[in-house]
Amino acid sequence: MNKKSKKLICGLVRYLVLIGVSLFTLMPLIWTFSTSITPDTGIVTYKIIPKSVTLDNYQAAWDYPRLFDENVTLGTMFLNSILVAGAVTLASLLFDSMAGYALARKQFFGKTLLFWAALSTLMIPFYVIVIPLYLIILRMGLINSYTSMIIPFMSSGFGVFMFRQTFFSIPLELEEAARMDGAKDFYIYWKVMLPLVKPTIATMAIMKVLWSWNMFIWPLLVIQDYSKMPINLGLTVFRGHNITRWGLMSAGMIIATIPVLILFLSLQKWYIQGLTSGAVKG
Amino acid sequence: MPKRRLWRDTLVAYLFCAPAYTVFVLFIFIPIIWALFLSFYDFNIMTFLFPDFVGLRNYQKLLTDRYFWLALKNTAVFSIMYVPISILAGLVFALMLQERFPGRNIFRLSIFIPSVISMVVASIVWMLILSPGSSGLANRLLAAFGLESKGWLSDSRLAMFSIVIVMVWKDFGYNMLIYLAGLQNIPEELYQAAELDGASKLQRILKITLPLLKPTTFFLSVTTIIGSFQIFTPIYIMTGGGPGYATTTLVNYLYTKGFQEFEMGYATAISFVLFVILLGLTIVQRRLSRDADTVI
Amino acid sequence: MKGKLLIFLAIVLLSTSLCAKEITFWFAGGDPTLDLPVVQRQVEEFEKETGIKVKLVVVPWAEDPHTKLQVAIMSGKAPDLVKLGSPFEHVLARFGVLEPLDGLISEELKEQLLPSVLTASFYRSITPKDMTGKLISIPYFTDTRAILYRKDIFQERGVPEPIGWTWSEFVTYAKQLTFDRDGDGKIDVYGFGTAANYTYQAVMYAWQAGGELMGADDRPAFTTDEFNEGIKFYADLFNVHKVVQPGAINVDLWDVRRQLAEGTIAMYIDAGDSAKELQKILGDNLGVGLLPTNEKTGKFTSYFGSDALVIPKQSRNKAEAAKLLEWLVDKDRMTEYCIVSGFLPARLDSAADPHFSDSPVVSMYLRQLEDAHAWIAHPEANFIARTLRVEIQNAISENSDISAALKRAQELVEKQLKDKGFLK
Repeated sequence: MNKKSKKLICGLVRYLVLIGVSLFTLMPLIWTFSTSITPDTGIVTYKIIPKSVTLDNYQAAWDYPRLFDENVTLGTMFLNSILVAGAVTLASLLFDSMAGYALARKQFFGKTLLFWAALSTLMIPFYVIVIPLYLIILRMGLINSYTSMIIPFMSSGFGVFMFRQTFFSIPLELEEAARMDGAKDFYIYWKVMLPLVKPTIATMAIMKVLWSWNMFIWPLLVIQDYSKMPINLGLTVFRGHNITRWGLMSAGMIIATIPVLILFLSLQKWYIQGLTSGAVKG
Repeated sequence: MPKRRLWRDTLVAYLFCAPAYTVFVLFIFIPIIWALFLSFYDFNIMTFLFPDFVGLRNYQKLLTDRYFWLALKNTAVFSIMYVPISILAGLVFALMLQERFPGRNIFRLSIFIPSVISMVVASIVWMLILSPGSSGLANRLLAAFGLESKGWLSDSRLAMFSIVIVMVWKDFGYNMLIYLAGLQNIPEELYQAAELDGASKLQRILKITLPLLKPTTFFLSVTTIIGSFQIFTPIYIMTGGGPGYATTTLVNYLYTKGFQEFEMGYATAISFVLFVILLGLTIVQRRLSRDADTVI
Repeated sequence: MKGKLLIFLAIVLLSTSLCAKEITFWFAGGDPTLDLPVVQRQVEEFEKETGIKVKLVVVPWAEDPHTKLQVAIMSGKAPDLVKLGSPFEHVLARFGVLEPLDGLISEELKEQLLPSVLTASFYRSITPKDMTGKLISIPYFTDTRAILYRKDIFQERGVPEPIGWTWSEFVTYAKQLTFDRDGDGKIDVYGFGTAANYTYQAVMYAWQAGGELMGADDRPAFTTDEFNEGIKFYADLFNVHKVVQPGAINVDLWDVRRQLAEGTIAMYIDAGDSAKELQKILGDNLGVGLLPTNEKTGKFTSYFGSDALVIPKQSRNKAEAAKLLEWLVDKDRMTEYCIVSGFLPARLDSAADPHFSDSPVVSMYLRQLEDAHAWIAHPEANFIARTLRVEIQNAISENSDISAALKRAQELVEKQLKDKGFLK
């Protein structure tokens, strides 16, 4: 009896704590959502469940950038984010897997050096290189271009490392068999090795998409045209001008977050796998 | 291996590595070497094509720059507050959410969601929650308990702590996840054996779980500390480094000096000092955890 | 046949290249609901009148247009004409990237401009030598800051209109205006709203006390008794009299504006365009008053700024840009712009327009303009303002000694100026 009721109380306490913490972590998002569907009266409401519901804020948020550049809507910024995230991710997947394959499968001169070079990029924090990187982009005349948001990030040491790890685990026989059939290197890489590492591809893809979607400081520095701003940068534009219109602001934030949230929820498995494998395997 | 094959393989390997490594060289290695050179010059965005050579002057300036040391102090204070809290929170909730029970996955997800939201969105939302006066959500909550309103972001004693709260909110879910992965690697048999020996739950955690989680803890502390020294976005959006210089951190100071006051040479020197500090922290941590079973 | 075709093509190409002259005009600031439509229309009229195409690029203040401009100049993509916030043109001139306007602007225009504002448009620093004494900008409008207040709250608390108040009256009334309306123990209205993030909000009082930002020797003058008196007066509003709204230390000025609209503060100090915005919301309930007068000096100095038009040296269409410049600061167009935006004209003939003296709001701003001080036109103005702001904010926030903070600011600014070659 004692043990059972003790367990019950423990369980109850645990649930309470967990519910409390979950409220803490989810409340800001829930509240933002509820503010976004509440009519904007200029005064901030703090009701979680709004009295009346409207989609006006979304329409207003969508059109808000037009005030500064008629051709730009929040949708434009959204597409910019997709473009940048997409380009960075696709390029990364290709470049990193190619390098990972070479490092895993080929014997060649300077292999160790290249491996440590890739690893060392993980040790270099972004802020240390931000100024020279900025000047390089400036000198190349790429300021305020989509290119500037994409090319510095088209590959990462982490990606190279992860792909190398995964390629190691593929049995040599498969590759040798293909080679005996007369297949060339690139063909082996493309048609044989890549399909076998689909999980890693999925993992790296979602990590890269999430990372580039949420990127802030770099676009802040290099992008000046509204038409090219990714949505995360665009949001700070909102905040700067009209901090009073929280309904609009919240709607904008929800628009910026929903796709990422959906992507994450549907592909959680891969994302989590990516995060943890980096940590545990070391 | 026949020499000819080796040479051919080398060529192919370099071709495969070329795209990724071109990016590395152009956008990481060249910048960092250039950064070192730049730190010996004085220039700004208007004059970077003909900078002034000043030798070690930037570094000398750093030593006597009151705001640099304040930024360093603020960054350290932030780190000291943020790192233990966020790692501990991650650990506690990983332990709580380890075993299966109804709703476990939902809780795990709820705690992890803040990590997925962009730092920008998080900062803006929290800025509203923490707004001064009686209108902010946080203050309203305090009022409901009969407590006084606080100047979360406007009281210089409280501002940094508020930033810590926001960052912990955002990151402890990730830490929890890493710990969960680490916990998975602990064999079930160890616990069973201990239970048979009569060990209580608490003893099992202290004597088995925690020691075996050392590698994970080590990994998390290294990455979290390094990350904490680079905090920028929430401060940029929520307080602008203020009030006064209460929340100005190293990277914020770097940004101000480099992109608002256009002393880019000086800002580069600051960034190099940051780099050295981070390297130092990593090395120190490695030394302290020599017995950790990790190869990072 | 072929020859004729070629000639035809050549003519077409030539004429299109001649007619399709396009210049880029960057406009810093601007409110899409207030003045931007007028600017757009004026630009369109210019295009029709002269056949010169204009690409209007609006960069709101929150986007940091000054930085963007520098980036554009450095990447070789400078616009042809820029409307920016004075005294930033002095920073640009220091790096030799501005075209001196002496030869491009007509004499009549120079004569019509307000003398005080025109003086500020000449580059005075000792370096670079070839720019000293040159005209580097033309003022687009000027504006000063006055007290904006809620007539209803003033009436409720029996406070007279803020004209000719002394410093002590200001404090008394501000305290009177800070009250708990519904008796729940929480203060509902704060007497004086401010935003310490804006250095001028504090420095105005220093000027009123007789202090100066820079002394005659080109050194900062933060440690004079007068300067200290002014800053201390401002700081006391926070910590001694407690009439300032929570968060005032680092909120944005438009937050304060919103609070006036909501009625959670009774008065604050801001420029003409905010007055215009508030008029839309509050109507006649919005009152405009003059800054308080320092009993000793009799000054009620406010901060006046101006926006100016400059032509970057890089521009390849300087003559066309100059044409657009003169077009925009034409008497009627400047008058029209100022009426809509709430700012004050920088031309004598425009300022004489009855619209300005007839409007209760604008006429008060004109009265305030009688005692107004410009910010320093120094290439290191950014650093000076930030250092001062940070030290003052910190002292207020920690409730520590103001004179020590100002002394520190003085030392830091002197060190910087020495480093940069402005001081020996």
